[in-house]
Amino acid sequence: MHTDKIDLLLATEVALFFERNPFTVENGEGVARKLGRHTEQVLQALELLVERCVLTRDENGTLFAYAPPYIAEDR
Amino acid sequence: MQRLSTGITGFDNLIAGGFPAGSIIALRGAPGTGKTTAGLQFLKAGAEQAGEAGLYITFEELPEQLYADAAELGWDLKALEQRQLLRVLSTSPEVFLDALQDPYSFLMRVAKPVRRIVIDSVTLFEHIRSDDDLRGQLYRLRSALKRLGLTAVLIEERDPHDEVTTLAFLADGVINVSFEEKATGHRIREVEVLKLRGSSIATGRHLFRIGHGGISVYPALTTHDILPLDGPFIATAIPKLDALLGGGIPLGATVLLDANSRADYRVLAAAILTPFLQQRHGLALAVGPSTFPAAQQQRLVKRLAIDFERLAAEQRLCLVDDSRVELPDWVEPSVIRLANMLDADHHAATQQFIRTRREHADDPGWVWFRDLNAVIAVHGEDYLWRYFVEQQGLCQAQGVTALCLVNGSEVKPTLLAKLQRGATVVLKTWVDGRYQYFEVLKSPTGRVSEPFLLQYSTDAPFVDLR
Repeated sequence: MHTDKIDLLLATEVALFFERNPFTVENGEGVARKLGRHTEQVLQALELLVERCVLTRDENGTLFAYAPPYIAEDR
Repeated sequence: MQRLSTGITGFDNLIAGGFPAGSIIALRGAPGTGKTTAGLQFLKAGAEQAGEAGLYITFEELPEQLYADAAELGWDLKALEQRQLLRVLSTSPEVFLDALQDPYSFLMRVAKPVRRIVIDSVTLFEHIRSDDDLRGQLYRLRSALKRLGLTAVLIEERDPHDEVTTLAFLADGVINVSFEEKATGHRIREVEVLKLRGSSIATGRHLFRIGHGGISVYPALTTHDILPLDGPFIATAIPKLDALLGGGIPLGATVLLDANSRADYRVLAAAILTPFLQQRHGLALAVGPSTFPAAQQQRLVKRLAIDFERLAAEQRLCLVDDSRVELPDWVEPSVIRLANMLDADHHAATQQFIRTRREHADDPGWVWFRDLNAVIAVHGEDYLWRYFVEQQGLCQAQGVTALCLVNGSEVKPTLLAKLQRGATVVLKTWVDGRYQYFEVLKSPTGRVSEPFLLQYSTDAPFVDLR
């Protein structure tokens, strides 16, 4: 329960980061560095946000980008 | 060659209208010097003035901070993003470099096709873990940007006073921005274009300011059109100098010629003085043990066909002797002896000398070659501090044009400033290494010059500015 709570909080933080910086294209390590968080935890949050279609990821599965409806049609 | 306006007021004038399309520009500077603002202004200009999409790549600064900073300048970057004219893209150096090389890049799909790009900053490429060294990575970056046909500004976090970096060699252009502390203690921002392939550039440092609306550059050399002088003047033998002065030397003007000890001032002085003689002005000449009668024998005087005996016969020669020089008999009627006088007496005699130059209103006037170094040697700097402005004011009233020689590096800065204030025209020549330089520091038109290379030639006027 405790871990789930951290995941959700961190996922919210990551989602807000992408909302405020919508043209971010980063790997997990880069996002973690920009948030000042541990890479492994941020990677879990990124996975969660991809599952929820908040983020997209590249074919190699290493880069993440924001997928909000208003710019989805731009891609 | 197509050029892309930078959108920075005054800056395009320094670089022949803008960056050449497809060029790669290194923008170097220490923190806080305005590199990011300059980069964003370049993209904003492309978007708003030419409808060219731009991409700002930021590795450390978050886009949200850039949006906020830009808003302080009155720029709405998000609005440009919504119009597909701008992307402020946050990523890592290694991700970006990899993306540039990948034909199916995920990042470049997000970035959209653009014409202009700013990368902030390539200094972080130093930390990429790669088999390539920094030069290899920068070369790879350069090749990719060239392949894509982008006009790129690569920001480099460097003190411009540091050594030349690899990027400076690879880039088509190099621009330094810096804080400089002035003599008065205040700090100003300055920009200097060191290199721009295929473009003539205005060299030297130019002041710039950041305010609402962005950066404005104020070129150090005023670029307004030169209005011709209102009053009478005599052209020198150097057309480039005349162009800066608005035609030539105004009659009655005081021209300060600041020459360091290694610089040969004689040819320059001759190029200014001889046209006065051709216009039948009288010549007043400071004489010392080494200047006259030896002056008669100088090759330069002979080549300029200055005939002292004829000038003396026509009462158009006056030798001002401050040091009891032995002179030939024929010249004695033309000599004014001012040696061994107390300062006040010397000043009174000098005033008398100036007042008696022009006996009739229709006399063409006199030109006085004044050696201020000799005056200082005999009377000290205080003499000039007290009397120079008064004496030169009298010269102006009497139509006596004065060319005053001084070695500015050997007088107190306060005296030099006073001499410059009292002069209508201030010229400076100096030797640095194996070259002699020349510049106009003050002119009646308000125009000053960049340092010219002073080159001697075998044909009159024996000197040229390049």
